[in-house]
Amino acid sequence: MGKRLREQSVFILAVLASGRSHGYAIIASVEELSDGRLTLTAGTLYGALERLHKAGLVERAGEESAGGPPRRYYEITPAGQRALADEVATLSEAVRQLRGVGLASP
Amino acid sequence: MSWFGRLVLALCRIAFAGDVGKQREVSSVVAEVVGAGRGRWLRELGGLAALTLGQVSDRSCSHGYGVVRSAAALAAPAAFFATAGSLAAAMDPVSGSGWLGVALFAAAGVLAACRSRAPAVVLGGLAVWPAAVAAGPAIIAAGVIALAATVAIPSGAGRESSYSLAAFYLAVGIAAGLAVLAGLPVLDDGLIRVATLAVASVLIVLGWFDPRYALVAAVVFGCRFAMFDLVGLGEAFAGLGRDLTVDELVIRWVAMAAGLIVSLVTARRSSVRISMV
Repeated sequence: MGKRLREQSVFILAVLASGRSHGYAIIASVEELSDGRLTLTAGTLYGALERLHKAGLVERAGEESAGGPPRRYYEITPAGQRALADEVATLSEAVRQLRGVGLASP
Repeated sequence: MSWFGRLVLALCRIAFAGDVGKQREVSSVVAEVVGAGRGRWLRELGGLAALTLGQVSDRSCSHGYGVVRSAAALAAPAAFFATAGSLAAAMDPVSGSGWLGVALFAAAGVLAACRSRAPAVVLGGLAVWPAAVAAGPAIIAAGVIALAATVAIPSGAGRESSYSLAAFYLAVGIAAGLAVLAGLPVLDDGLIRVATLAVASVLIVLGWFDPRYALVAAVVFGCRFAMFDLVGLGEAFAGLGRDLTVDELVIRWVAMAAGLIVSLVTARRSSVRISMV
């Protein structure tokens, strides 16, 4: 089993699992996906993207500039999809066990 | 460009040296986030500063920044020598055994840095007796710290050097020079105490990005705490304290104990943090 993922990495991978995206859009999507609970700074996002890139879980997916600032896009790799699925399975199992002892709402 | 934009760009240049595209990308996203009211500028600056420190720390093993890391790590024992004032005492011409103790500790430090850990421990053990005879427990603590500080030297130092070996020797030279200077009696005692605290605090901050630094800080605080503050407090309560009052000793005791706890917690949290993606 590989390294565990931090919460922010899980959300970033979840955003990229639905399609390639750029820095600002990832920040906005993570905030939306977590119901405003997780607000990434640009520093946190790019630190996470560097680690995910080094671990082979995300890769760059081109650069575009349609009128606005030039944007670099990122996409999830097959290894990233597996890591995300593993992490979700681990979290789901933990929630299932906690529900079993009445510590998590259904 | 505003001062905020300039500061952001400066941090990005340090964090992504040599990658102009990345510098532009990150600074433009920061501007976009703050402009859209999605983040506060102070929070963004904090996040960017943390990213910069992390990036510099990551680069340090494979680039010339090794010298900075080594110098920072070795500055800890230097600062300790300063506080204890024991190096000058050990180097008293009358006390030849002090020189022997310092020389043995130095040799053990170099061996440890070159990853010959077992001979380093043996040599460090041999140094204890002459050092204790010459300058008392202070120099023993200083020697222990000097040995412990070598863990902060990048693993590439020594045989499989991923950065210049000359940089490592330069760091050792800087630290030795600092230690000798700090041991000189001309320096103000208060200034030395502040400098010691500053070095240990910087090590704790660096420890958030690399747990080895926090461990070195823990050794600095722990040795001072065990060798001086606990003994001093006991003596003061027993009416044997010579220079400091009980109040002053309690403040030092609390400060050192807090420093020890903070550095250990930082090392633990940092090692957990860096083990995750």
